[in-house]
Amino acid sequence: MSRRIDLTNEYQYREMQSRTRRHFIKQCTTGLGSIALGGLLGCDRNATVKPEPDLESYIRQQVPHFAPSAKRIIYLHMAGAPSQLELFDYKPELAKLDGKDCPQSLLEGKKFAFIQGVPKMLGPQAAFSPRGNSGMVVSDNLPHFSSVVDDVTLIKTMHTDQFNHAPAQLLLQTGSPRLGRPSMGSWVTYGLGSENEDLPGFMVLVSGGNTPDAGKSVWGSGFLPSVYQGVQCRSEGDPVLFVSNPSGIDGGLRKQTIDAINHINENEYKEFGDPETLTRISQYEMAYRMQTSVPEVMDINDEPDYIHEMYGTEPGKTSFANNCLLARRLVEKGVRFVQLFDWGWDMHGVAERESLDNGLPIKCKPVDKAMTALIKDLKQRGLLDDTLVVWGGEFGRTPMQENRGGKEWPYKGRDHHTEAFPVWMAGGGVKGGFTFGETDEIGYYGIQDKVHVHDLQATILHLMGMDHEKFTYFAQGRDFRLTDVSGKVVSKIIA
Amino acid sequence: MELLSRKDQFSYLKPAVGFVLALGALSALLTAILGLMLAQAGDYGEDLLFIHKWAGILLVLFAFGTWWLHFQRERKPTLQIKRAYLGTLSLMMLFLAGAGHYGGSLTHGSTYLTQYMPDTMKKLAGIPVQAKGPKLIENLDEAVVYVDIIHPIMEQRCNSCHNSSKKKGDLQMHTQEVLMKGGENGAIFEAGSAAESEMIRRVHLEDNHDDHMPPKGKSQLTDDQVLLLEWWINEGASFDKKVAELQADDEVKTVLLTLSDPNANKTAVEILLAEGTTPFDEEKLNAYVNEGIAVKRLSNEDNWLQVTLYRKDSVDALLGRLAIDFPDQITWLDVKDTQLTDEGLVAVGKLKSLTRLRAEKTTVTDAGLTHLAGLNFLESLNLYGTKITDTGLEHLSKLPNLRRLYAWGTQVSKEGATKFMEEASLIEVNLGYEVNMIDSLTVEVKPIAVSN
Repeated sequence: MSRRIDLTNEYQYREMQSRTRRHFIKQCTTGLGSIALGGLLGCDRNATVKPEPDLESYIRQQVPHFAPSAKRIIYLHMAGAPSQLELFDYKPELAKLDGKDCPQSLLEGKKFAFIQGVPKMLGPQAAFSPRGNSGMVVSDNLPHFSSVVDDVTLIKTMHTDQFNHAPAQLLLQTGSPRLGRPSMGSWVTYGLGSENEDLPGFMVLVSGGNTPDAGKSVWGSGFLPSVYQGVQCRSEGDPVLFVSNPSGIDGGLRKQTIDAINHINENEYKEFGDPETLTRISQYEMAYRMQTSVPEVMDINDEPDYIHEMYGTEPGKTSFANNCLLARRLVEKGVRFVQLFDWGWDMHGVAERESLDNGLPIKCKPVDKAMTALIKDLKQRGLLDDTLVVWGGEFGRTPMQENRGGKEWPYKGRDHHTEAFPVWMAGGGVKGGFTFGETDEIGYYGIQDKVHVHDLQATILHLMGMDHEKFTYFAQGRDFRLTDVSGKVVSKIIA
Repeated sequence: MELLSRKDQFSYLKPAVGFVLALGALSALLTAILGLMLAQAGDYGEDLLFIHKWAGILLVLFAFGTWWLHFQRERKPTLQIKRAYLGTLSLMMLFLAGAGHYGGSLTHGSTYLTQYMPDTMKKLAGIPVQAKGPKLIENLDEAVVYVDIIHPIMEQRCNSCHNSSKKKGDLQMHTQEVLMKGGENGAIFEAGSAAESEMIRRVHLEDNHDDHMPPKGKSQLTDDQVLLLEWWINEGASFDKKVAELQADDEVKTVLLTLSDPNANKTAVEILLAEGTTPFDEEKLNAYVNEGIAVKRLSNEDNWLQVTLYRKDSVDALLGRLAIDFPDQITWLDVKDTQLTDEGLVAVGKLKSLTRLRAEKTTVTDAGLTHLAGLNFLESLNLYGTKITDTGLEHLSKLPNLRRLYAWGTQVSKEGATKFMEEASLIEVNLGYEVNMIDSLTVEVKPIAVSN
């Protein structure tokens, strides 16, 4: 025994002696490089994240802090920011100021995306009237929506910190205007898990011809395990890209392949304990189950005609209406968070399509019809009781007409505005027929019951049964929250 | 530390004693100077401040004395010096305790030591025990608004800084006279106008604002409390009028009701869920989870359970087992789109605390609904897409807490639903919508159900 140790030592000693500086530098190319690479790829994460041995059962067994009033969310994000002054915030005083120069007091110390010098005020470009039993004031641009106002809480005094689309969308959806934080849907699925083992807990549908300006980060999982990131589905072609089998490969072979990969990954996890390996395993398994579950849920051909008429859906196309119907089908199947983005609300008035008097009514029609149908359809299925529907943009629009480049434009448009914009919510335990918050005479500032973006996030988490101050995740050396370091639950809108 | 270091096993602490004494003396001096500056502002009660001030000054003197004597003793350890050192050390400790205690009384109110003592300890110490929570008002109409409603709110949220011994901003709020007097910026309220009252203005400032009251970090007024304060001021800020003598709108009335009964505005179901239920057998729950059955806690702070069953589960048999294992805990049950039959509803009828039942798109019939007759807390019942008819509704009309019934896509007729809603006026029946295409962009979607 001892002789063998001597031999080994002898061997090592000799080898060291024969190793030269040249050997060392030669090996550096791969040796030191791979250490650096390991650091870059975040292999040291094991030190901070506690491994969750069975990620799937962990996801299913998550329980909220207190009894929730909403079990799932459909978030309808109108990317580009619709104009509150033509939809929800009626300002007769602003009509009187139409065409007059904007007073300096509204411009001093403010940053605008495009307005230069002294712009002109722009009166409301739509007619308004009180609707429903509650008398909520809504514009003629939303005739269908006017029939469901008694199920809706309208917040008129939202405000944000960011006046450009991408950062404002990130702030709204991830709690921070910069990249890298998990989105609201990721937080919610991380906290509450999924109710359907065959579908992801967080699904995303995009319409309007473009992804939101902030890109896919608005449904990213940030520092949370990537199993919580939103899965984007399409209503045209393959619902989820790269989930179906390649030609010549049948389900059995696919299953064998995935089993083999997962076997290797399990060994990998046993050796290194990196939770991202678990994520990878569960994603492979989920992807396999999604091969049947996704095409089934995404195929709207089996819906009866009157449902198609109600939403204005056309199977096989990409539209907000199709996405609304899909959202209902997904929450019916137990998906926790369905996020819709509809692009094309950025009415600056530099083209007819982007004008408030022509473009906006055209843009509104199908959206109005579909979002109203969604509320009614959820209601008749008894889903509106515990499904929260949220609608809104990332900021509002100025009471002044945009004068991009310092000149007058032939079309009526408004610039980005952070101080006041509307968000409405329906179902999931919020009040019906309730208008919250007051803006000033021209809709520039909130003057009573202001709601910051972080307050909205705190309220949404509260409705889901989560305390936004206790709901944290340890990453990069500290605990993080969706609401960063602020946010107050708006308890007055809760029924 | 001095005493400890005399024992052999802690002798290694000895060299630190002098340094700690020096550090203590210097920081005491600094603290005393800062304290004297704060006292200049004159926001504090004279008596308490006098004791705290002089205890603090003496503490500083003795701290330096102790340090000096310690130094002397190290150089020339005579018996006299040793005794003097011990004497000053003990006196210094005494003043430290005194200054600390009175300082605490100044900042947190004179009852800070015993305020949060557990009741059993209070009894041992001979301090009177007060009933938990705010005192409930027995006769609301006869209650004097200021005495019974407003003063207790101020007592709870304002008076720890605005009282007889501490008057931040030169404001005291513990009696009628001083409240009227106001603070260094004058009156704090404008009788008849809450909007113009300094007190209310500050309450509504953002939490981070320097002038926000109560200050950041102190417990804040609730929305209801703010509403009551505003109401009292708007109604003239009277100190002797009774509740019945003041005008109150519906919002205020709703809040007032909670003062005599905290559950006044809650439904029977809300009260049941808030009360909670008995604990269940964790092992049994885990057994179901391991079987792949979705039995889950409703939340982390109570023992309520929610159950979701799927098409793959043998629902009727499972419900039988669940009704035996968790009869009092299951409050949400979701058996939609499963193989549930009328047989399974027998077990459902045994879940006495069931508040939400989703049984849509199953083969349930009228006969099955008879088993639900005893579900006294059932609030929401989803039966859309089942085989129920108008006859089945009769079994449901007696359910005292049923509020929402979903019967779209069933044999339940419009007439049947209308008749049912007339009998059971609190229940809203949803029969879905009639859809009428007008043109490609307009559609008329009208509810089929009648309103009550």
